[in-house]
Amino acid sequence: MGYDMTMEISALNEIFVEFYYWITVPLMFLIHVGFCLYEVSISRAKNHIHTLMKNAMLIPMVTITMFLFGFWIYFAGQGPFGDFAGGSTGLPWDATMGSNFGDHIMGVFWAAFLLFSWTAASIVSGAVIERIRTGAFLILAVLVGSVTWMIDAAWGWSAGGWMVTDWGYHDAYASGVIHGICGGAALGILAVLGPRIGKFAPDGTPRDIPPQNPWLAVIGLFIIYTGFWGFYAACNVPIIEFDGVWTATTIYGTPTTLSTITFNFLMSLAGGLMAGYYMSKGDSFWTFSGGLGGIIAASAGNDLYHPLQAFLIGIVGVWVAYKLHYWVERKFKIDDAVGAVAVHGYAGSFGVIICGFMLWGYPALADGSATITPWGQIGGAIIMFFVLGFIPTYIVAKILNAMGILRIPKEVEIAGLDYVENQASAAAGQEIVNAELAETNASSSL
Amino acid sequence: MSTGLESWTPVKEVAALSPFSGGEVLLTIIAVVLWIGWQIWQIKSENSSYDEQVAKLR
Repeated sequence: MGYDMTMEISALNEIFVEFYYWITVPLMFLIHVGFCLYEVSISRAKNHIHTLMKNAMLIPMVTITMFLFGFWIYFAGQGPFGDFAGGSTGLPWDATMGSNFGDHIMGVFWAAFLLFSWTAASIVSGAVIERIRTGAFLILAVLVGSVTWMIDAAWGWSAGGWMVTDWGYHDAYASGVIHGICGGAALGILAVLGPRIGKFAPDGTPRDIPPQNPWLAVIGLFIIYTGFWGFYAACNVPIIEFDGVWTATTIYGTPTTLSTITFNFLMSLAGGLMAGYYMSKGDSFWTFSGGLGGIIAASAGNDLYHPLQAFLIGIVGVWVAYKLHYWVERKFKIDDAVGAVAVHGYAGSFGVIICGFMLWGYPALADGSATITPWGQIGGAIIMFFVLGFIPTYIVAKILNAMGILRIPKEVEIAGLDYVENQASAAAGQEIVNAELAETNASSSL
Repeated sequence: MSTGLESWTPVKEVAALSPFSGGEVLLTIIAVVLWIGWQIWQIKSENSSYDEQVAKLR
């Protein structure tokens, strides 16, 4: 009986790829852990539990809707408009969307996209804390996590998407397709939701609402950095034969190396941290947010940049994001509690645009049929931030506001979203104290 | 009697692993109803909770 080594290598390769994507999922889970920690720490003590539950409950809402229709949108949206190119792929009754021995990988791909979806909704969650109703937020989370980001991924984050094939759009590690759109989505909601009570003085001057626990907030950001490695890994095809060479490729099928993305992830993080520290004069929140912003700004082209280019882009991206954050806050009275619009939206959009100049003329697809250009990237940034980011959430937030279910009542906002829980907890605590006192008195009277 | 698989061999012919294969559309309908129903219940519950709190705080 002959020994078929080719078949064995092919099987090993398949198992390696399955395991590779599978391991990115728990790594990306850390992003959500970090977001919860960060968001709760930024909120004031009177709002902690509500803030945590709002973010935690996006997990089941986005998960079930990603299973029901979100993943289908990704496949269906990759062809010309209305073509539904993917057919039944990704529909909940498709054979691959279940436990099926004929397909070993679809659930892992789905999970990788799903964790991106949680991140997308979680980015929005931080910006709107301390005054949005959970029910309204969960509707908006489904909109961003299972609909709009899946449309943008179909258009601009697949080799078959029209933005890639027609415009040469390039966004290897999702500066625009995750961060740009979510920053825009957060801004759309904030424009309708309004600022927290007391955020602006009567003359319009913004007031600082300090984080309840600054050091815990930065631990949250540290954990997000860790999870971000899983995100980067999930954006790659780890090993594939390309023109006779075994290599990693981007989601567009264009070659890169793990060495390149490792260099660039860390160098853009370093640039962002330095810029954040410089701009904020050592403020811990902005320094750590700057690290995240640095990675986000360089992510669109981190498959190809030189490490020092990634470093410089990280610096400039954070400078742009920081300046824009305070300009928009003063000019439009936007209260972005965690700087999400800046770190994700502005840094991400800057990253998409600068990539068009840095990689001008590079092939956007493996077969060279599309080319990266500044105008393709500028158009892409507009689609991500405004068309699929800002506009849909602005419209839905307007509708929810008209229904009276967007913002919490003023009295509750002032008393605190955890008012009922805190009152019950205080009453329960007092009851125990009373019982202990009664026991002490009874013992001493014996 | 089996709700799905009766043999693991030949394994190459095994497709669906879950029981009651063919009922996926019905499961989808149930899931859609549960998802939308849960969101409606959550909004109603939250509204009534805020109404009570506002009444106490005024």
